[in-house]
Amino acid sequence: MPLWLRWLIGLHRSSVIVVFLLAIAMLIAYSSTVYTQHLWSRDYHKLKGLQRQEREMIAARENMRNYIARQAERPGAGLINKTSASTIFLQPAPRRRAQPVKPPVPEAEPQSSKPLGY
Amino acid sequence: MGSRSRPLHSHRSRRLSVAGDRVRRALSISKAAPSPLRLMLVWGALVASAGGLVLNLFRLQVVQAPELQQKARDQQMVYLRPFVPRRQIIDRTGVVLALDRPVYTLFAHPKLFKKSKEEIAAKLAPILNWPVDTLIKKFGEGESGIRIQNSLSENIGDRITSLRIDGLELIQHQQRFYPQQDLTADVVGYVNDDQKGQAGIELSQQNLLERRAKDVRLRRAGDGSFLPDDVPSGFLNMDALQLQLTIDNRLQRAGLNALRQQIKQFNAKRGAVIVMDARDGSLLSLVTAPSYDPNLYYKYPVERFKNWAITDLYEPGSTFKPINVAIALEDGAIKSNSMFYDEGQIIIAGWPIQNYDFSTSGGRGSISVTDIIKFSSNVGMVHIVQQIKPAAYYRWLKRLGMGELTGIDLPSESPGQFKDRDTFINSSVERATAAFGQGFSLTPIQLAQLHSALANGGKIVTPHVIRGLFDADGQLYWQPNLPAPRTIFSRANTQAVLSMMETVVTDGTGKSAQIPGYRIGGKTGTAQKANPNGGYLENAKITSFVGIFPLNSPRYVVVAVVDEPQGGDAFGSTVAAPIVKAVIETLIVLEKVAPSSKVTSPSPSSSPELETEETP
Repeated sequence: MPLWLRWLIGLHRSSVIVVFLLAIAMLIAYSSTVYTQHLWSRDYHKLKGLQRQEREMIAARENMRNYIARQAERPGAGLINKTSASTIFLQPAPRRRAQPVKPPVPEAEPQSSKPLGY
Repeated sequence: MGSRSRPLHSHRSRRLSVAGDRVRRALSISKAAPSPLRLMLVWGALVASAGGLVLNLFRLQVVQAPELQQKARDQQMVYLRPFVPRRQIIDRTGVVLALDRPVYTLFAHPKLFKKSKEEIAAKLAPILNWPVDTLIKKFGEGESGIRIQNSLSENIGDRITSLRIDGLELIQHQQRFYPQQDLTADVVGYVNDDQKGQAGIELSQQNLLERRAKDVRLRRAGDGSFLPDDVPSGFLNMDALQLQLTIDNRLQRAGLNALRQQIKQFNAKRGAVIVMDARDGSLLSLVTAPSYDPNLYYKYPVERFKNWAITDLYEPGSTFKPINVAIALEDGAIKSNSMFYDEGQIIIAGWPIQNYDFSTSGGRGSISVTDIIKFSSNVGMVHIVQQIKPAAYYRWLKRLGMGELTGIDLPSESPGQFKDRDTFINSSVERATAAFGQGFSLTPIQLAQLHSALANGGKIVTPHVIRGLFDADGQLYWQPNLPAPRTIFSRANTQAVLSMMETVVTDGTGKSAQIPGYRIGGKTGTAQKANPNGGYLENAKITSFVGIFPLNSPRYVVVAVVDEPQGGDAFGSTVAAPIVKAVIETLIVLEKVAPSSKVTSPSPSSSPELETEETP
């Protein structure tokens, strides 16, 4: 078999392998693109849902706050406003004298039985 | 013929017969062999169909291409208008005062209905909470574009969508929601249907609150999910900044309640309460009554939408006296221990000027500056102001900003009215009336600003309600740039005036603002209302009270103004002072202000004990 033919056959075989690998890579790349898009889309919806929940919760909380405050203002509610008379003010404790701290006595180095050098 | 040929080839008959079979077989095959015509036919058919395909391809790809591409785009592409809310407004404690939410308007197009109107109405009625008959009648109003209902919530929108009825259309738009209703309407304001601010912060801070986002074109997959390949960068990165105010909703509520109670009791026209932090001019509370619910603004008369504490002028009356005393002290015209002779009534340039209690108390004789403030003596004030040179007095008042704007960050502020220089200097009666706060006018907010100069040691600060833009973690992102405070009075002189104002509350006209254990400075004011046609109205007065608190380290200025209270006992001391007291009571609890002296008994007799408390 002439050399050039052998060489061509070799090229053919190797290119088949390369094409096969490229086809697999292409499939992986394509499917991951589609998959990430799918993921993005799903998470976008999730984000929208959470944002909506946040909005609704804020609105509900503030509505409730206003409602309770209005209920409390009603004459028969049995609630009164906090005033200075109904507040206990605690006197701050008198400042304690600073305890003089003894200067730390340097601990005696334990006598090492190890020799300082060899 | 066959019988004749057989003997000719008899010696090879077997082979021939075999060969003949082959030939015969070959002949039978050659009968189906292509004739040129058939070949041409088949070829022609193939070429024609291929040509047809090419033509069709040409038609699809070239002739109809734009139209088909458009159709595909219409199906796959969606214009996504992301919900971009206006920024939230929160108070100083983080309570949300205004937020945006998406709402839907439901339209019906009966010509697109695939089911009967009765059937659709029966399904829709329970969701909308409408009677079925009304809904059917509504469907009968036209062929398409019938507006069924506005402001449907997201939940109801979802339920209508899930019915999957042809001919119903939900249009989404934004709606501003004010959960605290009328509590902060005077500060926050409202937006109209086009999301444009019409009053308050919503109007003056439009550019801070508004957020713009471009419409985004997205491709959509077969299952309706979005494909992100065309999404511009930063599409999801919406800042979470909120506009924080210096207003405290709890104080606001306390002020509004106290104000409403007094307005009802004295059958007054309107009222306002201002609480200002004198150190920086931030407003902790700003309420007017009657107010409005910004969620239903269209139900209220137009004049409610202005905040009259900022837009309307009035003559401050006696509440201006401490300012005049501070001017006289700062000018060096008087000393805090100077004595003046109070005749009870004097004539200036032909005009009689008398004390409010002249008919009962007469002249008080020689009295101190403190007593002039304590008893709110008009004649005494005229004598004090007479000690100041006219040109200097005018200059002082102009330095205080009379006739000018305070620069508050709310819309439609009115500048005060003040006489021009020549009139003021050449007319002794102008100066005499200015001594007790008449003959010129200012807004309640400006009065609070002037008194905060007394409270903070002499600095004119800019009143404001905006604290800044904060992100979700409470980090400051932007802060308003306020002009630097201008120092007008010295600390010693403002201290002297504050001690005089304290006597007003301990044993003067402001006793009804006393709170046991606390040192409060105050000044009452009861002024006749100026007649638009000149002179003063007989039965119309405007009562006010200014409180400064706590006097140990003065910080808060509380102003209450009640317009046109009715009845013989309607004075600043009876109408406005109790409001200030109620607000200070709340302020004590909210700001955790400890009493300056032990509360022995809740009687006014504890006041001398308070006086001994020295200010730091």
